[in-house]
Amino acid sequence: MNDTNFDRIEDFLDGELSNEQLKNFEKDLLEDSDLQMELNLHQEVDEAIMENDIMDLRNKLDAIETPPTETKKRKYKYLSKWNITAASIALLIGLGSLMYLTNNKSTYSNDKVYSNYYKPYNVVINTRSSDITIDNLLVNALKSYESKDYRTALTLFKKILDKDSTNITGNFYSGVSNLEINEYSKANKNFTRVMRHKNNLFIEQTEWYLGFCYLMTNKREKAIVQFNSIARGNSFYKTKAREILNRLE
Amino acid sequence: MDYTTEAILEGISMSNNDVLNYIYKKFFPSICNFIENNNGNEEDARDLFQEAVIVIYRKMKKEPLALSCNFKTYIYSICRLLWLKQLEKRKNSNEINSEAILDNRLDEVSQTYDQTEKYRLYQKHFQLLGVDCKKVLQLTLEKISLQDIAEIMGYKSEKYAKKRKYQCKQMLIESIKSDKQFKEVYDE
Repeated sequence: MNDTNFDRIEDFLDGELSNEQLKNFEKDLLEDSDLQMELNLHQEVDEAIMENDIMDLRNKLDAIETPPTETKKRKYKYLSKWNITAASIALLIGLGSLMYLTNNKSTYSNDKVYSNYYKPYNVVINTRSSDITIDNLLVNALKSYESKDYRTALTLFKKILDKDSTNITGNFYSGVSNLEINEYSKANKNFTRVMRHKNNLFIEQTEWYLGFCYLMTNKREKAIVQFNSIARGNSFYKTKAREILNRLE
Repeated sequence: MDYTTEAILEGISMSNNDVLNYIYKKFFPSICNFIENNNGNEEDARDLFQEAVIVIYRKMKKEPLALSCNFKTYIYSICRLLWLKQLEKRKNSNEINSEAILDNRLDEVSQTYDQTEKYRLYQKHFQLLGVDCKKVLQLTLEKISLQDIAEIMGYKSEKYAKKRKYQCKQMLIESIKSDKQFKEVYDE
């Protein structure tokens, strides 16, 4: 889908096409099945994102803990006396070891949380800035990023940041690329710039990745504060942040 | 405490937490058992059960639902049908008794499910957008003027509000299309 057709569809749905544009659009719709499909998709997406009730219901259902299933119940039921004795002995040994290893308070190490929960962000951005040079650089940088060539991506993102150090997309993806090559302090700097801008598309994602920066630079307390604030907010990552907190605390 | 079928349906239509918890407690284990005996796991069962509840909610949003059977039988047959559709997609349809698909009464459920599945994908990607993008898109669809949107969102001009709306919508559509599930649900 090219930008012109994208804009035409949106203008059509917003009732902003002039009479002549409308005529042409309707004519094209009859002849172009791709355009018709694209229009359907836009209409469906509009309808879907207004379904706050269904999104709320889904959130409620997500939060419900499912009861133990029949298979699990059966497993517990058939635990014999001997199984229970053996399990109790194992538990005692486990508790003993735990008391012995008093310095090992946390369930998960920082590295383990990182390897279990961290993954690089997928490219979802479309380039449409006011500066065409930046757009072209961004397209190429994101291509390298998508093919996991993070070092090349970083060189290209740097060119963008040299022109405009506050560029949000450049900073965000540089941050993730730096995480990927273990340059955690540099990643931290990138993410801090995104956070400073406040009103942008990557705030929730940046909060999330900053948590990993703290973890990997051994700032466990700061990481806990960070994941705590995500867990208490309305972020997309809140459930995962809660899980991480359980692992960390 | 037990709820009647009518009370359960009303509870679903109101998204009442007590009723939602009750139906999970009461009906989920046997559905899960069914799924586990038919090539699925607990996670599949959880997904499917959730979709079944949403399908029922959607149906009631369109028109009142009068059941000729009890709620257990109803949700069980919906889950069977939805699971059969899933298995067909996974090309394992011969491994389940396929009598459910012959049941014409459930045709309509199947249509509602197709919509539910598509919209679930769209909504998943919508939720992934930043807070301001979500708000701009919803405000536009509520037919709030660009001037008001600019004011609410603290943007410098109407022109910027419009540009932002395009950016957000474009990002959303691209994100949806890049999902590997998109082709599966959209081509149906």
